Amino acid sequence: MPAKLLIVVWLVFAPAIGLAQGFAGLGTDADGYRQVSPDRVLSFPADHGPHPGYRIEWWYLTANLKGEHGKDYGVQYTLFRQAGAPPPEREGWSNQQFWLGHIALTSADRHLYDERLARGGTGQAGAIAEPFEAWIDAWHLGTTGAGAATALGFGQLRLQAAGSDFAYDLTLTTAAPPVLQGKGGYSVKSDRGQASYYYSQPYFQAQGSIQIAGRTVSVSGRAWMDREWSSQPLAEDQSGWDWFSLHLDDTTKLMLFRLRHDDGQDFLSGNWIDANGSTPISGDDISLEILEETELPGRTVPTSWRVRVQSRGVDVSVTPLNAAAWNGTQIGYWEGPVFGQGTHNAVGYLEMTGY
Amino acid sequence: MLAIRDVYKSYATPEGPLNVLRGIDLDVTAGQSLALTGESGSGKSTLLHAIGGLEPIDSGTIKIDETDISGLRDRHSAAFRRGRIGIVFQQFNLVSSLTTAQNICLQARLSGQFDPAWAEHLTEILGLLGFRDRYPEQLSGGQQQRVAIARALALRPRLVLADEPTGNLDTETGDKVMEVFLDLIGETDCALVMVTHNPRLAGLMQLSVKLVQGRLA
Amino acid sequence: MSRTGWILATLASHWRRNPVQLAALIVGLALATALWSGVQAINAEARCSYAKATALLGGPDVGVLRPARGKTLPQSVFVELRRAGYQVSPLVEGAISVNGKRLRILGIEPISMPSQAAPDGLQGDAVADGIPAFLQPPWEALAAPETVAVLEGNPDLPPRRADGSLPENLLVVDIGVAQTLLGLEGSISRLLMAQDVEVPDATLNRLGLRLAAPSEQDAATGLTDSFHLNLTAFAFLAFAVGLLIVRACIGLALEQRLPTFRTLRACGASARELAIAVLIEVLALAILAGLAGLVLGYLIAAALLPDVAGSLRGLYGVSVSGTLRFAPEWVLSGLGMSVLGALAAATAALWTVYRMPPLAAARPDAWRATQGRQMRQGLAAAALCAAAGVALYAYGDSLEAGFATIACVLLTAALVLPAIVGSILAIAGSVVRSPVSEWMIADMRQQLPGLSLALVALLLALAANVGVGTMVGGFRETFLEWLDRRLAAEVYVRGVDEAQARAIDAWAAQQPEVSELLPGRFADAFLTDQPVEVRSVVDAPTYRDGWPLLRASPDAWDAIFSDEAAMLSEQAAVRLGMGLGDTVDLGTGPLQIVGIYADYGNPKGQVMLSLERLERDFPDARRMGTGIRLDRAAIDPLLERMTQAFEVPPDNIIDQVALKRLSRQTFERTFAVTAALNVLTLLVASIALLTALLTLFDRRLAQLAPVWALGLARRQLAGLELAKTLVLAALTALVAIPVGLILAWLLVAVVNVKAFGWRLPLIPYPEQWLTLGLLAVAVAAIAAIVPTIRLSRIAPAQLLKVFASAR
Repeated sequence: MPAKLLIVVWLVFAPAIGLAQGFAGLGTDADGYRQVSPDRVLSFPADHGPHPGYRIEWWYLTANLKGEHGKDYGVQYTLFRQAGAPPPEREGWSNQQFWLGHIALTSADRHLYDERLARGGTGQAGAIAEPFEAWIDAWHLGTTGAGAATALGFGQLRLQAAGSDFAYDLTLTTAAPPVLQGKGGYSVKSDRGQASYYYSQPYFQAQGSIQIAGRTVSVSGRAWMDREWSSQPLAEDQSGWDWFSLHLDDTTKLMLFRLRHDDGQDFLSGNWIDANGSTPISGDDISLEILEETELPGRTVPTSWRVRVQSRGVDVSVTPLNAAAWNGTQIGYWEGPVFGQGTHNAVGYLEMTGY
Repeated sequence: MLAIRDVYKSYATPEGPLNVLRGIDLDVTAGQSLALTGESGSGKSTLLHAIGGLEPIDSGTIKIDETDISGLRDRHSAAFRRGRIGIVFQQFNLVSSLTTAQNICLQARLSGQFDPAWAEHLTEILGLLGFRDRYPEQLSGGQQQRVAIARALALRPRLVLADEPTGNLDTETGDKVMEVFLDLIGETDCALVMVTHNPRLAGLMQLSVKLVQGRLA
Repeated sequence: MSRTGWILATLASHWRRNPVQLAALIVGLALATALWSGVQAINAEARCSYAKATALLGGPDVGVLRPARGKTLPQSVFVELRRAGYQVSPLVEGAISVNGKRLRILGIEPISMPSQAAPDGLQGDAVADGIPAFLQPPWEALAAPETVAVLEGNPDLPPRRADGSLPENLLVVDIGVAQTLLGLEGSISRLLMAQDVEVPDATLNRLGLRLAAPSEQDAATGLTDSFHLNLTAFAFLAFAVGLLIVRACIGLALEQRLPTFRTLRACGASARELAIAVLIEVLALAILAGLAGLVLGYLIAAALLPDVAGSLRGLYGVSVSGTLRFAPEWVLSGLGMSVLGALAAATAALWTVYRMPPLAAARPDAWRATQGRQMRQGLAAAALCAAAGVALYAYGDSLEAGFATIACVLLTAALVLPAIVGSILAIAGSVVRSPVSEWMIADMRQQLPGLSLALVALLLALAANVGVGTMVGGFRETFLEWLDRRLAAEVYVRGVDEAQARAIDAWAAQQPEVSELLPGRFADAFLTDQPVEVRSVVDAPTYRDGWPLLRASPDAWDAIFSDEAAMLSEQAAVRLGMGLGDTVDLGTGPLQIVGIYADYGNPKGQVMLSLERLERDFPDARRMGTGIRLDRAAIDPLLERMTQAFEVPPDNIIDQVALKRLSRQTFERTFAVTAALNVLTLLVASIALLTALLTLFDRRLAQLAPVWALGLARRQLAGLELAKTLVLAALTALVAIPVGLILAWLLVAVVNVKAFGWRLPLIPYPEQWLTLGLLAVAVAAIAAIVPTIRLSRIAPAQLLKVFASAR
């Protein structure tokens, strides 16, 4: 998701300081970083860990959950990494990796979020490939039980994080291997060649508890993890994105995104994931249509969409669990659980930036 | 225009109250001049001060143009005084740090009734043209009193109160000052109440009353 | 122009005709404001420096975790706390030597640092450039502009960027850079956290941490507060003296303008309008004088600040910028004092104007007729003040109470002065026989009320001079003796590290000319939440015979070297409220206090143990320079051999003479400021006297003219006038000496103990009093010279006029 690339470029480091432009000057030049190439073959579990030679990277987990009484919840856990300087890697405090964590918990009437920022080199934040771990401060996503040995290292994970007024603790299990997005994990982000390495694990079963409004609620549902890294950010004229990850049913998953261009020539792309694996969807096969917009403080965000993939016979209207799922972090964006109705009964996550 | 009715005034002294004014009734119409005569301690100065609103009275009314000045609080009696009443004291009571010209204009300016042409005219008539920039200490007694007269008249008062205006001057000077003073009073058509123990001066007034132990004789 | 405008213009015409009076009023108020605002400016500058320092070290909204023992923590503690969810930020600090000067290094981690603790250069608009340069090669450092200038061209340090919010001699760098500079890789000194972060005690204990008490962070602040209160008290005294001038001028101006008020009333100005006009006049004068005073105050502050900065650094180890900045707080404080002071001085005048009946005002003497009653009231007030002073002394237990006692003493003296001088004159009057003397004394008595305010000003200035002079004199004498005892060794040598220090000690012990070797160590510890210094002592005649003990148990030294006892510095004893026989515990077992010694000039309390005990209890104690006793003549050869044998940097060998000179400078500076304020106060008092004499001049003529008519020449008269002023000044000085001694005693026995923690003996200096008495007479002579010359040259016509205008 180039979507998240942009977030990282703008977000990492600046939030703690309070100024968006704070790190605009920090390593915007891709020179010296390793470049994404279509030839590379991803390998697991090694690629679960960080790729410090690339400028930006993230571990992105969203979960659609139901509570004991049938109430819907959504959980987000994101760890971003940005390099402040190209390789070689430096030790200790001179390490130039910066880490940003975002967590959020959404219900029909609440949307809670928090963020953390840390420098690499000390162990305050970081990621390890095997046994897999991705953490910042006390927020932690990592292998538990026998998880490391199965599903190419992602077999069983535990996710724990607490914000100032909410918390969650989930166990994620899957038997399926990760799914490569784009062409073998090489995901193109613009007509001009911007690309990233991108793979996902959309088959997690999630089980655990959340704390919201002072109560602990047992929850279960589906979770989806995205892993992506690159050295090239968005094209200059790309202003934001709308990104969907939808569980169409137990085995069929749909990822698609629209990168909005200043001139209105949007870049659309996606992947169809089912028992046969992952198949790219070309842009002209996808149709995204705004059905409803929501007024949020200071902005208007399209929160209901008609999503169509002609070749796959998909035509669903996507509506949010909570239209006010705005992450008011230093750089804000909309990120929340959604439901699809129509040709499929889907659940999933929608992320929209640049509004 | 001046109507005094049943005015009483006493001072507290260690020997008990001293009754200074004991039922004064007096009328002066516009343009009239009145001499208040009497022995020292007869109450004539007290009466004059009471008319000017400078001293409160115990009972009775002092009406000037239908305003009872004795019933006014300090703020209002001051406002009334500066607009309607010119006062000339025995001591020259000029502001020592102001020049002749500034002293002449003082009250007229305070009351917002300053008329430069009229002030100039008064200065000329009173023979002060050559002394405009002098300070009081540089003037003779007669000149100082003429400045005080000019000041009292500069605002075109309805009523002028004078307390022995020539008492500190030798006879010749006093007469000269009094002559110009009375001419100007005639010219301005205001009423004049003057305290004097000099019968000759009293004779120059249209009316003359004598106070004896706080009563009109 | 409005009516009020015309009234004001009329009132103001008085000043135009009496410019000396106006000048006296403005000069008095401006000087008072100048001294006040000057001191406030110094205080503001100092506070600003402290605020910068404490904000960086935490500040009021930031909690601090320190190592429970020792000076550093492993960095892993930071990571462990962060990973347990506690949002703490690491900090490392220390000092390095650059070109022989100490440079503090503060390493911060700006990403996790509570935002209020970050320096300006990493906040707000400075972020865009500041943060990347700070966190990335070549890792820019932030420093005060002065420090950037000092370090100009230094290639060994990271590049410097100026940040005006930082104190001087401090380099703020990224924590990693600081660790390298300080040789503290993998260690941190402290953890900062937002005040709402709470780490459980169990976690703290497990990680070897303790929550720093707020008082600990502010220890220096508390001490420096005393210093600033000292300055403020003296500034206030000067201000009060200045106000006496203002009050005298305003009163006189009112008296002289009573006829004007009467005329204005007759011309129809109401009492209220007049009072408002007088109020406006006073305010305008106050603001005018206040602004002049601010400019003057700024100059005074700029002149005194380097000394203040020096003494604060020497006394309390805090760094204050030597350059003055324009701060709104002292500007407002100065103007406010000027306005309030003028209003206070004018209250009586305002009330008189407001209550004045229109006709009763004609007698200028009315103002003075009340003088007798005022003197009786003054004596009653003096009795009250004296009682309050005694009560404050008996029951007060703070620096503020000490100053309040002093204020009571001075006020009492001021209130009784006219009565005392009056009585002396009355007695003298009954003794003298010559007619001229009789007239002189009678005339002085008559003159007394008019001059009493000026004489009070002189009294206060003289008393303050006697008091402070006595205190400083006693201090100097005691201090020099103490210095001789304390810095007994001829040479002090410090090895660059432990190994070298040991080697040097061993080497020195074998040199034939060395008579005693005095190695030592010191460590930081806590005694009932107070940070204290722990130092060692070895069994040597230098200590046994020469140590500046104030009180000691019998066999105190034997007890010390039995390792079970300790001695306390006077400051520590005062602050902890402990004495001989009490027991202290530095967390290493009980120690009986067997001695109290003087430790002047040390901001921290000190505990002294035997070297063996200290090394046992504080294994990481640092070394002090080893004292070497030998014949002075043998110093140079020994040092030459030593520098050949060891690579000792010249900075590490300190000659006792140089060390003493340095210490002496610190102390001289501390009192340079009070001395300067004293001189200025005396100046204000002389101006008060001058203005009083000048403004009384015209009134005096009425008294002098008859004497002149009776056959005294003008020059003779002038001489007598001068003599009278000098006699009054001398009488005032006579009263000032006992008042000054009381003051000195209060300063020594109450204020110093509270402010600095030590008490000094009171040593009277009669020659100093004589000097001051002469000074008072000289001041009076200078003040009287202008009126005297005026009088000796006065035109006979002016004297004749007195008779012409007499009623």
